[in-house]
Amino acid sequence: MEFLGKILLIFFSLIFLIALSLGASYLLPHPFSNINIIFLILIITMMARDSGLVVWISFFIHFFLELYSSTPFGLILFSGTISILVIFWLYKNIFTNRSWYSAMSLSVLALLSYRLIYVLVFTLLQLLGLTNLILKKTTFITFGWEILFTCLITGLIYFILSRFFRSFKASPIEHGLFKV
Amino acid sequence: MGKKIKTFISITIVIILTIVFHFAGWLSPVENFLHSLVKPGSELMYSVSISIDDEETELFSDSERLIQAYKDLKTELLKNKTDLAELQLLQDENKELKKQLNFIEVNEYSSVGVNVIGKNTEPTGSTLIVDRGEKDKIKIGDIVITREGVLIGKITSVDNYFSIVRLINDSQSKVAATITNQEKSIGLIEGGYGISVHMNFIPQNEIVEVGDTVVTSGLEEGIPRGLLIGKIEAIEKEAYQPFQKAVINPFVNLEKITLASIIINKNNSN
Repeated sequence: MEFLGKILLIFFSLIFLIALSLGASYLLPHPFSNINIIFLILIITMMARDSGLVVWISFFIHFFLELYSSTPFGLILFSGTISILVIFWLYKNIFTNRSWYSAMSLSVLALLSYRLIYVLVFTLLQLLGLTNLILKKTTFITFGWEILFTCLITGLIYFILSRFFRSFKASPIEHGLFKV
Repeated sequence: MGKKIKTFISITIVIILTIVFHFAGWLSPVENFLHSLVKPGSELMYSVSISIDDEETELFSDSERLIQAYKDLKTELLKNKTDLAELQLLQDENKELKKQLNFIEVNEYSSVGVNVIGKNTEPTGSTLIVDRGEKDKIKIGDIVITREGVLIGKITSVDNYFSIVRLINDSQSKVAATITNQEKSIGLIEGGYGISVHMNFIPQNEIVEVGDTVVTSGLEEGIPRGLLIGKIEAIEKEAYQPFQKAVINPFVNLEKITLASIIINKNNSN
């Protein structure tokens, strides 16, 4: 029963997160509407929980976002899930502490890898003739705004959370590469 | 390292299976369920975003500007009334001439009213989500207009209960159009330039002026002739180029659409 309750809580949290992401995109003015709320929440959750479940959460959220996208199905799903997986490995094996600047660094790397995988898969789909979409210069400018604002807000939110919650306090993680 | 590779492969397999199941249609019940969960919230947030930052309100610094704006509007209204009367005469004359030529209507069109319930969150496109889909006989390629008859885009993706509209200012949008000048110049309306659209491939030797109206040319299958698109704001003409370009300001604000109609070609739907 407790397990079922947990599953339902996670499910409705995902729905709320998707609604929050859509809301931010609709309500915030440009260029703030480019903040990637999904990655912001995923990175903060990753640093708070230290759990690989965040990769599957990313899978379900990006699956849903595919339904609101005009890009070929699977592009956002693959890019989003794999980039979170890569960042999770980086977090567990390279980054050595929990702090607001690691949160910012992780968000920059996460979004850079997301958009890099996105562009690579996009290019592959174009070469295979599976899409007529073109990436224009303005698209890359929007990616830049997305990375900038998301990393700033992630750092700020993590800084605030670390003042109130123990799980966000600056500390070395257990599996860091360089231990003191 | 071996564990990481196994994890990567297993996640990739799950993603590939999801994509395959989506295209096979097996995930439709799940997708429709998820849509129904988020749709009310998405619709509410979209309508709130439209009402915020109302750019239609114009402020005047003094009464003289207000009076001048009022006079300009009165002049424009009178001109529109004159144009309307002339248009009505031309329509009657056209009907009469068609009857005389025993003109057969090849295409029959009907329309479906839709509500806009969201828009895309990806920066690669300019699209809207509407609350009608396959169940309402909507197909990819159907055109979308506002209630006033202004073309705003085409259907690019259809599901059972919703569809995605690619707006005319999307970078992938291309619409055959004609200018209401003397030469009835034809060209191609393309998006990807922010809120405005460009009309390309206008013959260099034809006279095009700022303020000319642009409408659909009817040369494209499924798009009737004469649907309003926008007005010419600027012209780019370079010597020794075979074509000139025009910057078009659409008649409707594509960021603030809440209601639209989808034109369905009855011949195609049968």
